[in-house]
Amino acid sequence: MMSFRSGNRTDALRYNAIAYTLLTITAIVLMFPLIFSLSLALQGETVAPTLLPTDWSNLDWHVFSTVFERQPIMLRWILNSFVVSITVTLGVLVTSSLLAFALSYLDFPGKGLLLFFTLGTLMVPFEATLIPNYLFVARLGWRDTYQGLIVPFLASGFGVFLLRQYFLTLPRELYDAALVDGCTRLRYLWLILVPLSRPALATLAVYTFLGTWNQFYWPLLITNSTEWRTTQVGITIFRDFELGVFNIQMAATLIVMLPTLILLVLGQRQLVRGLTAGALKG
Amino acid sequence: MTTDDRTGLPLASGTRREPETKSTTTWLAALMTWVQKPRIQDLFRALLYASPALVIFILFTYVPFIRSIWLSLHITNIQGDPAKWNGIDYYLRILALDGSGRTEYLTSIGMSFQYALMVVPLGIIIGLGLAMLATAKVRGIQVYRTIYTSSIAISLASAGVIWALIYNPSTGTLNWLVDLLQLDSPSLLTSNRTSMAAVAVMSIWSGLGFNFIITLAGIQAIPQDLYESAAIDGAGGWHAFRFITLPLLGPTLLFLVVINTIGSLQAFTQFHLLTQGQSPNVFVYETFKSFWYENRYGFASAMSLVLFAILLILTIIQYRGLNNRVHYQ
Amino acid sequence: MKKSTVLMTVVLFALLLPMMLLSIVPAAMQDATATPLPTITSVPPVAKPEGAIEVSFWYGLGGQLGNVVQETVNRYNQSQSTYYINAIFQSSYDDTINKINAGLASGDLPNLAQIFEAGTQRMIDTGSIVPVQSLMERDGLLSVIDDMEPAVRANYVVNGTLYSAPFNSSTAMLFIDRAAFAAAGLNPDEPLVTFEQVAEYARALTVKDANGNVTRYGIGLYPEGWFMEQIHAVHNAFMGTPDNGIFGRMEQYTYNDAIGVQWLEWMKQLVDEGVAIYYGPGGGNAAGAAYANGEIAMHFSSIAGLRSFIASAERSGAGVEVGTVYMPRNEGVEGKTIVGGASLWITNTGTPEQQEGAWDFIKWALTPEIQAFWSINTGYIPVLQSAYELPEMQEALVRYPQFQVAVDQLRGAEIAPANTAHISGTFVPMRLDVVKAIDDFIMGNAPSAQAALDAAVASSNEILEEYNLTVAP
Repeated sequence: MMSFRSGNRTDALRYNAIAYTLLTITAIVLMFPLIFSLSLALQGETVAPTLLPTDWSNLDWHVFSTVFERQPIMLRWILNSFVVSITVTLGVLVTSSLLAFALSYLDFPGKGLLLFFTLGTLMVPFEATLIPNYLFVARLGWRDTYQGLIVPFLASGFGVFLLRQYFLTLPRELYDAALVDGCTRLRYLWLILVPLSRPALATLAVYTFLGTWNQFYWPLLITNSTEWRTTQVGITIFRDFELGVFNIQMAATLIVMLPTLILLVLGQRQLVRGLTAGALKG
Repeated sequence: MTTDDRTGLPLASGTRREPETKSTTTWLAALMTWVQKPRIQDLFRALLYASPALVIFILFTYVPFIRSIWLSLHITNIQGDPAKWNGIDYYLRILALDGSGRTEYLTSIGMSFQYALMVVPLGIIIGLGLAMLATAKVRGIQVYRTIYTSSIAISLASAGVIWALIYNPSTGTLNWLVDLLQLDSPSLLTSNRTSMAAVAVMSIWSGLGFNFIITLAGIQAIPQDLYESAAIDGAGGWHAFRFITLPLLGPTLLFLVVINTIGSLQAFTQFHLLTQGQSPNVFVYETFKSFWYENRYGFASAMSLVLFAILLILTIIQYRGLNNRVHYQ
Repeated sequence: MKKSTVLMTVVLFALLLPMMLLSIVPAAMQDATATPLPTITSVPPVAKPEGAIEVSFWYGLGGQLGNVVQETVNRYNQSQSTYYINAIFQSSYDDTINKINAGLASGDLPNLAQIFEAGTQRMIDTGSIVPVQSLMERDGLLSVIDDMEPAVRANYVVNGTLYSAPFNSSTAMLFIDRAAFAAAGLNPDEPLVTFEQVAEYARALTVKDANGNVTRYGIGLYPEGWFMEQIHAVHNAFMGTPDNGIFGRMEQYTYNDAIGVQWLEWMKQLVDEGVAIYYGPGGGNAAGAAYANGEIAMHFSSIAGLRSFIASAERSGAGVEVGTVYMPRNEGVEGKTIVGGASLWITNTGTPEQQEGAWDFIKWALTPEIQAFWSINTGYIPVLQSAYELPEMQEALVRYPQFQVAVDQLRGAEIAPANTAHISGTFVPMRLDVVKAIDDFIMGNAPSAQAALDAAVASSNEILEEYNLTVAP
């Protein structure tokens, strides 16, 4: 961690200058693909887009409205993605906290096996499960339904692993003391562990939401009708097969990216509050 | 099985086993005693807490997984059902033990490792560097943090489309680099020397937001007083990083190593979108191809089980190797 | 709220707000700056009439061509009220047939599907389809088959039966930039047919600046399985035995023959000479863009993209004049290119009414008017010969002489088994093997063209033999 407290004002100024320079350069490098895609979207139906628009006075801003004009059902796709992503996120937070709690605070035979079982789900490649899951969900009659899009993802080995690793960094004395004080385990989980773990939970929430929002093959398989598509599947309709005219496709990509970027801004705030609230002083 | 409290892994020598209770007279009493043991009580609690997740895991991961083991021993028909017993022929074919001398799958496993070796360390180191940078105490740091995190908001599919255009010679974005490296092809993606690196760069960018935010959360979780007392002792900067930050980030970094390794060995979207699975030709793409284009579910199942075995062994090695050096507070 | 949070929000919204706002501004207000395109664009589906029988239709054409599909369906739905075709885009041709494969076990199939020609054998093998010919026989409409473009008819008749209704047919062409030809002192109207000629022209068309950097390549290349099929067809060479699978199940691929090797070596030679630029797997779009932008003077593509190329060339302002010539070949061969594209399949899983609805749509689509409409708005070849008698089609042929070249090319030689179709259950992976062979050879990963193709054929045959094992004989 950078430390400048001991320095005088010149040191502080120099520190600021160096920090801002480094921060800004890296930020520009990291933002580049996004800036580039915005630039492509605005350059009109050209076959030879350039890095940055050559004619700044003639940017094609209504490309974004064109996307909605061509596919008014896009709004429904966005709604679907929201319902699915939010439900899956809430579900994963609950199921992961519970299992991670068991794995980090309880002492029982077969604990290693349970952890192994959880981590194992991360290693099963999706090719191995996609078709059997499709057949199973189809047999339940869940094609073209929210439950078909949601239920298979309500638990996440990744989420359990993330929370367990985080719970383990928290002082165990707290748990022992709480139990001595007559606090039940669920109350401890809900009243102490969850608030303390807000950064990890926020991270998991953001990550799960984005991961679900960005799914492709599952929604493609399990939805048959246009109105049940999610955004990532829906926008493939803008791909031009014959010729690379990218503006509409890029505009559609940016539109479906927008909710996730906004979520990120909001999620970041939540994350920072959790981080800066001194949650770990207890 | 006896386990270490903190890691959950089996202890080398089980020491906590209760001595056999011989004094009990009835079977029921023995059971009651057993049930009342704290560890057994915890077992029931654990199963209760675990049940929602376990049901999902079993239904949607393990049942299909077991089915895929069964399928991997068969040639499957157009409906994806077993049509003919095939034994372990698929495995022999993948591992080039079938005597045909064709090693394309082994080669692609090698490629996968080469790719993971590029992406995992670089991704984590750059994420760590960014996280350190983002702890700078300057105004507006939150804007930078958001920007650094932004790549997790972008799906691999979108990122792949964007990066394909960045590498597209028509946009002229990277022509200077092609000239600088004196490649004999128009794009970094179509030169043998650079195609793997080009895919890796995109993947690192795509994973950076995640690595960054996790590392930052880890750094923020380190109690400030540790740094303050270190500062009093005159240790700052590099020393504080080396002796406080890095060790205390252990669990976080271990987590990232495991997740990134699994992720990069399973990566296929980026290869699909950037090179259509051609050179570099990684194992997961071969799996996807036999699954999605060839509809050979049996063969694809065998390949995904080979991948599963590789990931399993790697994770155990990483866990064992790194866990010894990781400090849980 | 903290200052930094405010700042961050401002920055992000400064970037994103304009696009949000502008996306809700009515289009009418902006039309002043937009150049109207002669192509079909926005087409939301029409509403379903009360009481109409719904027929689900999966299709795999996206972008501009997908718009024309939806427009065609809309016209049908407005033309009658008994049936309602619900057209559902399935992301791509590949994903459409893969979804059908996945749906076989669960019975989740559409009533009607647009499937590319590579899926023909696989669709027959599903056992879940109603051969179109049986319906034509029932309704006394066999004359429609007689009216079909002979190359199209030959392509879709397998083992004596027409299983599906040809819908969008195309063929491969070499697109040329007539302006670049003129600038290089070459005559764009001179027939350009042999490999040697094209190579020679590529050399002449390559332009370098003062520093020796290439500013325009003679030809753009990318690996594509379909072209391998085309090159074999123009040489009347089989790609698989027996007889490309058109009379009975294909058993072996044989494209590692002299023609295959020659095709690979020809491409690599041009790349090595520096007169061709190689765009890599999936590089078709990049190459097409480069062609429309004047960065390459010759480009292999499907005639279906003609309208796109012309529109793009106009937009790019690089002065490219779109022309088409035949696919290259050796002197004195007597083959012709084959038909690509897709056809419509009726499944047997819907109700009898739905099957009738699917068939009704096909009958309607197989009329000269609809075929002309479809062709004029895309670049696909009308599947019915009678479409050419319509005034709008004749006008289109005058307006787009490039299109006439494609028709001539398809009709340019006698139909023979080696130039009609390739039918096997593992066509898609075979094409991937070809792409890999070409890419390996051009990128220098294979010692020779023969070695690259031998490996590809071995892989294709491994998959084919396994497939044949699993289908009922």
